[in-house]
Amino acid sequence: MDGLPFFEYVSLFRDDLIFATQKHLLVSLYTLLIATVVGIALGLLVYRRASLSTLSIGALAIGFTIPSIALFGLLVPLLGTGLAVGFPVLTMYGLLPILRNTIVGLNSVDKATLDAARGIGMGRLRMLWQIELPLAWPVILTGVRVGAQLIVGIVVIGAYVGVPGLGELLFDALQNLGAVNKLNQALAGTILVTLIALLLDAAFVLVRRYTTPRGIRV
Amino acid sequence: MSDPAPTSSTTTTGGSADNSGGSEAGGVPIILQGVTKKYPGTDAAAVDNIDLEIGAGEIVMLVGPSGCGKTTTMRMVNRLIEPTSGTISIDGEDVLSLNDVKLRRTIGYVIQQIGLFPHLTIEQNVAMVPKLLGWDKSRISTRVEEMLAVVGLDPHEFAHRFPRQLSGGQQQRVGVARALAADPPIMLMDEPFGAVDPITRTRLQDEFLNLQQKLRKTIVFVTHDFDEAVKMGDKIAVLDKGSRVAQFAAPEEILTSPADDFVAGFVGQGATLKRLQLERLDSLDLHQSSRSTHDGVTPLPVRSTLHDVLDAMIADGRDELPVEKDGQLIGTVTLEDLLDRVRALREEADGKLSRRGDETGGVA
Ligand SMILES: Nc1ncnc2c1ncn2[C@@H]1O[C@H](COP(=O)(O)OP(=O)(O)OP(=O)(O)O)[C@@H](O)[C@H]1O
Ligand SMILES: [Mg+2]
Repeated sequence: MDGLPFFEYVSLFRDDLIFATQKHLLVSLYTLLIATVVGIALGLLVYRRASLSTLSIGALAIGFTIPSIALFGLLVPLLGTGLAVGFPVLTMYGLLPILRNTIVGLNSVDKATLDAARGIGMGRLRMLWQIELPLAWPVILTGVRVGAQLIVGIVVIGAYVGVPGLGELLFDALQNLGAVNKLNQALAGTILVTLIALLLDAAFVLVRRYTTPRGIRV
Repeated sequence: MSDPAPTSSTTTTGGSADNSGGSEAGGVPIILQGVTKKYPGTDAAAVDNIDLEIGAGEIVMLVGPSGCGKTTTMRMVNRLIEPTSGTISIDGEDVLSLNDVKLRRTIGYVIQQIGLFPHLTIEQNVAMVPKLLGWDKSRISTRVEEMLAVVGLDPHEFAHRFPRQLSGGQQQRVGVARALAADPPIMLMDEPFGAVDPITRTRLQDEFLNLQQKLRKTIVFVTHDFDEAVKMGDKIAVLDKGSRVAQFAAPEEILTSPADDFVAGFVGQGATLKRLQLERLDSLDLHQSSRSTHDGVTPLPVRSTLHDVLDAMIADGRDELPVEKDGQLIGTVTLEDLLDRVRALREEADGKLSRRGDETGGVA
């Protein structure tokens, strides 16, 4: 048989595993941050016009169907490998659910509430900040959460074109599956990706809890 | 009992003279002149060249069939809708010359769907306009408590609740409190009591009328319930398609002499009974009664409407009932008195109608 027992493997390669996990988490968080800012900003530009909203949501739905591996492959010749192609592609995928949910969330705010807000003398910006965004927030946040899951998964695939993270370990393990400790490496990588995803999800549950206005908490 | 001509636009303190109570009007006059609204992509104007003068401190009811333009007319006053042509002035100032957002802070606004902010507490909802106006914190919190009490909600119980934790009627009260919070001279109310059950609606109406006695705001009140219009209005504007003013007069006048078939149709059956709702016992000469008790019959308060009196007579199977004021018997009223009163009202109305040679509606 090849290699060490799993736990011995983990303690021996501890530093490598932690480093790969850190890279994975950081790449995910940075792209998620950019995707969130850009997604919400685009949503704010678009949501007031019904036709633009419909168009965007349709376009986003198509975006979801493009396999990430294909997009990486297409863009490497243009942008190069590693983070150069990783950042734009990851941001793009993270953007899809965030933009969609921003548009949907802002448009689903009760019309009577908005009518009353305007009718008592709230200006555009104040209405957006004090009424529309807080009411749409749970929906927007759900978009960010889905975006986070999407990104964490696609970072793995990105290793194929040199995006740093746990994907590097996994690809290496799969390519050399017969070699010493490679099964352990694949297993450790998989577990760590899952842990990151679960951790982020738990974080969102907390964020959601503490940022949803009390009056609309279910 | 007919109204004097609409009060002139220059008055600031007088208000309409026909209002009971006599306190000064807190409101200001609103004048619409040749106001038209044509929505893009539609053939007919939603509001077609309407003229309307609303005196300071008056409640003017806009009634008319669905889609006739009541809401559109009302929303042009606070510029939620911009008129296509015509002018609207408030207290002599053309509203189009004012900043629309600031204008709305000086006009109370209540809608049928209430539109409370679901993520804000009742306190924060009511505080919104004072906050927009930059009042300081302590003044706002005093005001919020006061307003909640005014609309019959205990501040300690309700201030920190959220809208979804209130019943429909309670939410409606908060809606009124929010509109009143900054003490605006004008209130625009679009079917404000439409979304509650009839009993709650009656309560809200009564309470609001009581409040208005003190506040004397200028109120534009949209409803499609003619009975509500009769009850609440100092004047009623009966509107037809395109906000054509079919008749603009006091409720008494519209009930006794509707201007045309359209108005008559809107008044509907039972105009005489409705008319009796507007007359109170204290407008009749009571008979002095020799007896001091009326074996088991509850005396009617002198503030009762003639409608209530008739109802009590039918219910008790009597044609004479005692009347009390502050717990003291002050006389009796008879069925004959009511019939005389109705006859007098009819003659009054016939006098007006004979000029037009019209015939009165089919009300016996
Ligand atoms: N935004 C709009 N665009 C186009 N037409 C409109 C718009 N709003 C209202 N209308 C039309 O204008 C007319 C008047 O509408 P309005 O809402 O003022 O009626 P209303 O008297 O308030 O009716 P209801 O009693 O049903 O509330 C209607 O025929 C309506 O279809
Ligand atoms: Mg309406």
